[in-house]
Amino acid sequence: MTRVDTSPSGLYSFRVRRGLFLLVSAVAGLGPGVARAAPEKTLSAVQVGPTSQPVVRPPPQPPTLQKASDVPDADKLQRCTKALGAMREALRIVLEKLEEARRTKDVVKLNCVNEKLTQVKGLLRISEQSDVALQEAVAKRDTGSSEHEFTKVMIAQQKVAQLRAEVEECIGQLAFRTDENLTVEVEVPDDLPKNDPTRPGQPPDVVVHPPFSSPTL
Amino acid sequence: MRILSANATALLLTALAVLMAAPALAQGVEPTNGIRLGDGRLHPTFDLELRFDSAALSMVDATTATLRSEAVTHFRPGLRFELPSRWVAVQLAGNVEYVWYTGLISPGTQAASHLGAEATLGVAVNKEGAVEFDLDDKLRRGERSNNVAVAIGTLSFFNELAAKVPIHPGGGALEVAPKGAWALEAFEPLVNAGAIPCAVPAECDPTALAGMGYQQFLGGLEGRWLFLPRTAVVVDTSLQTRSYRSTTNPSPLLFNGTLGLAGLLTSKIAIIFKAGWSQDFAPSQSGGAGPGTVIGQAEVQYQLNSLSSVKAGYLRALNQVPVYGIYGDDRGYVEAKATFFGRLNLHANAAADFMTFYNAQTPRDDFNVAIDAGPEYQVTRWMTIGATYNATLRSSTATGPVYNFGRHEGHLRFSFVY
Repeated sequence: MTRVDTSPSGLYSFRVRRGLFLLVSAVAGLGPGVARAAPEKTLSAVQVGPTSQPVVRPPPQPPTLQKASDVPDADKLQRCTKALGAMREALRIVLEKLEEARRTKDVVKLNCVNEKLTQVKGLLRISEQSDVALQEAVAKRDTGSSEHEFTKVMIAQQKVAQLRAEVEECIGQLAFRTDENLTVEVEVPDDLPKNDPTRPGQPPDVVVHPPFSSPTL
Repeated sequence: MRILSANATALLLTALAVLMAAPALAQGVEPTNGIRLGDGRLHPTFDLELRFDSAALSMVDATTATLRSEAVTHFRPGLRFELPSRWVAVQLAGNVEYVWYTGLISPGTQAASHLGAEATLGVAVNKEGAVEFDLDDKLRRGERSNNVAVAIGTLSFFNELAAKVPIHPGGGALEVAPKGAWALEAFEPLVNAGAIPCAVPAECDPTALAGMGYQQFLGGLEGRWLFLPRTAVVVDTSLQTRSYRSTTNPSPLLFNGTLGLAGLLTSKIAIIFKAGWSQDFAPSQSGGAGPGTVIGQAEVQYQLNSLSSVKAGYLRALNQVPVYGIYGDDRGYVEAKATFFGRLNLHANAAADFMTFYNAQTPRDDFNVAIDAGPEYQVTRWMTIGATYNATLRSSTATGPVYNFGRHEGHLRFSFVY
């Protein structure tokens, strides 16, 4: 039987360890994204204009990461607060998408969005904890801790932005996915010939009907 | 001044309303036609046709042929069976007819009265699958035949059994269909009144008709590539030969190959455009190579609506024929059909054929014009009345009075189907 340390320090350690585990997982996924100078465009919204050409709006651009040591403490707090605001907004939008999927009773869309929502909620929770820890570290003038907590929030913000884009892809791509719920209505012009014009058949041979002939009657 | 009393006016209006509603009433009262047989429906039919024929009989001497007209009646009971099915679809239509030359206009023509028949059977297996199997049979006994060499009235018994295996994997855009067919045709004189003077005795001698009977074998390959939903590249190749009862008739080995386009150019215009080559690989009667020529078909159809259309076209082909082996046919044709109010069908067709007979000891070219036009009105779901005018003009460079004639026919037809 596994013995669980339920003392406040033990629980805190557990929560920190879980949060770090989630964050490390997110960073592992985000790593290639962090290295990119500009994030790749995703199909966040498609509009069909008057010329029937799809117009793609690029997703919101996450802020580029800056070295935590180059950011003054006051800026750290401000940017952390701003990042939390952006993440809460992203959560609100993801919840809207979830409702949309639930309304269309599309299980596949629902599962896709739910998966992203779970990750967003986890990252937001870690970020809120890090915000509190950052404020403590700044008050104690603990540079190491403040840089660490600031970096965590910034990385979480990037990951949430990516998850938000993935949710929109989730809804957008799945809207065109063929399954048993998809119906296609074909409008055929009324005046098309009923037979198949690509099967013309053999042209008829000459038919003769000469009169019966008699030298006498 | 009052023309009609109020009561009379009301009565007239009521009668008009009933007459106008009669078809609708009839449709509302009648259930679905036919006798249910499993998943299919059997429809008994009966046609009564009254025909005036201006060239029912030709009185021939050495130099002239005098045409005599006659009133002819056709009694034609039959049946149709349809079994629509995704796995095996069957369509069967057949009738037996008694053709009665009444003798009312030209006494003595009753000798030409005879029994006729016509039947078609179509079976399609696995039509929606990747590999389909089609079996078709056509049977016909009557005065009309494809034997363009013969110059006297003939009774022809024709039967063709054809099989095709269309292979259309995936969405069906590409289809390849090997095919084969076996046909036999037998001839007998309509009236055995003795030989008639003409250029080639076999064409006018009733006793020689039996020797024109043949068995025909055909094997080939068809292909179709739908590059648009209703437009396709089509290819058709075949090799066919005949074996005649009398060996005096040459047996060709005829190859036909065409490649072209068929389908809709626009939603209103359909085309067929095919070109190719036809070659008789059997040696000619003179010992040289058999005839070969360019063949093809060019046709344009304009669709006025889903039930009305006009089309015009040109066809060039080589076909098999007794006595000569091969004849070439250049045909120009026009066809029109229209439907009004869902009940009145009008049709008009005209075709002109220039026929060139190869291997001829004595050269022969024929010209045949056929016109066919008339209305057909569906009175009720089970009864249709139709009238048709047919005209045929035949002329030939062959010497003899029987090769050249003009014929006018008027038909009045009452068709019943349950």
